[in-house]
Amino acid sequence: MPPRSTDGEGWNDLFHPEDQARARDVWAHSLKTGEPYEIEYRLRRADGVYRWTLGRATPIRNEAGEIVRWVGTCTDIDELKRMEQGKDLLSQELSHRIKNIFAVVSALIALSARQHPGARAFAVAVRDRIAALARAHEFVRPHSEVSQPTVGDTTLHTFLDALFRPYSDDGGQPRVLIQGEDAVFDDQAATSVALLFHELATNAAKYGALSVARGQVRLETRARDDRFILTWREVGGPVLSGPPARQGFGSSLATLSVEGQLGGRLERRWLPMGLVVEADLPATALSRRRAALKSV
Amino acid sequence: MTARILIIEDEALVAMELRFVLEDLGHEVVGTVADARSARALAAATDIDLALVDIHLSDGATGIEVGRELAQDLGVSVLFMTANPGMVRNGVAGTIGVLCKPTDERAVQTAVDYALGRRQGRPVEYAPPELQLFA
Repeated sequence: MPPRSTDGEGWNDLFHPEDQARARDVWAHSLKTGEPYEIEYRLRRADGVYRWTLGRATPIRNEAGEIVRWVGTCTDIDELKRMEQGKDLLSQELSHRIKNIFAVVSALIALSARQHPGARAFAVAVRDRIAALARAHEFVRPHSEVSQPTVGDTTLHTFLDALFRPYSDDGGQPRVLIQGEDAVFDDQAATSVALLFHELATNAAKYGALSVARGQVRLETRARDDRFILTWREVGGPVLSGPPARQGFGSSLATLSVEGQLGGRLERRWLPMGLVVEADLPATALSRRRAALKSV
Repeated sequence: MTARILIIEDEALVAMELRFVLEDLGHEVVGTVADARSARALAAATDIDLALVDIHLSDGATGIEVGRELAQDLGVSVLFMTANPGMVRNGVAGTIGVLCKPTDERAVQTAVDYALGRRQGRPVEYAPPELQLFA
């Protein structure tokens, strides 16, 4: 690097054209605020090759606290950056294959059931559950810009909106209305959340509020102290006379998801106006990894 | 209405299941192909009303381009079916929309009815909820 080529405006020309505007902004911000400067950019080496570089600078102040100069370093992180990009590519590829496997498994079940007409209802139920798991995976898998879900942020509410979309009315309006505090959730919680609400919605569509045209479900989510509480309330459905005589596997699956997997409590109340289900979870259950990081 | 439908899908099991579902609905499946070249060859030789197109085929992510060609050059109605709908988040000119896999018989049926309805200029009320329409 020729002497003085790192001074002032000339320095910025050594950055990759795509990084120049960003680098200028970040540097201007540090000059204005006195905050330490840190940025990753592609820097042109003497041989003309661009290398990913970590640029850092910190201000030196005089006794009056005024900045008199900046001392900075440039670290070549090209190898690291390449490894990171390789890792991202690999995890996206794996994730894509996993998603594809859900489709293959689902097709396999449907094809197998064709040989056994009596197994049809069974096959439909299993495929619906697999579809719910696949949706959950879509939300929490590692994403690139192109693979980002098309529905917006990966929060609990956007996920549930997507999960309940098949239950919309003929006009495309949702019949499960979600309100309250939203939350982030991770891959460990996604499977359980997907199975729980898949079972509740399927059940409502067969026997509850979603089995009649005007019925609806109000789903309220709220954080209270160290708990996160989800309340499922069916309205406008058939009048209930009490708990069902017999509980199916779907019901056990819902309980298992909440109490076994998420470490919460699941309570059902068969009120005459409709079923009310409350899932009371530890606040950390939806995002255990994040909670673990915080507590370190 | 009975339609002539082409399945472009590289997972043989998924393609076979889809064929059975469409045939149960009374449609004629004119072929199932696993790559872009076979899709082009078959489309050039046969009349097709509707193509169900996966994006990742056995020769790479070629489904998007094939779908666009079928729709724009040959006037075929095109529905994408993929596990990764983000690949076509900005839409593909001339095509109808995308169904997210795994899917089920009801979703396939309503999406196909919707696509054929639009093709015939029948008034179509609402798209099925699982189908993401392109603007």
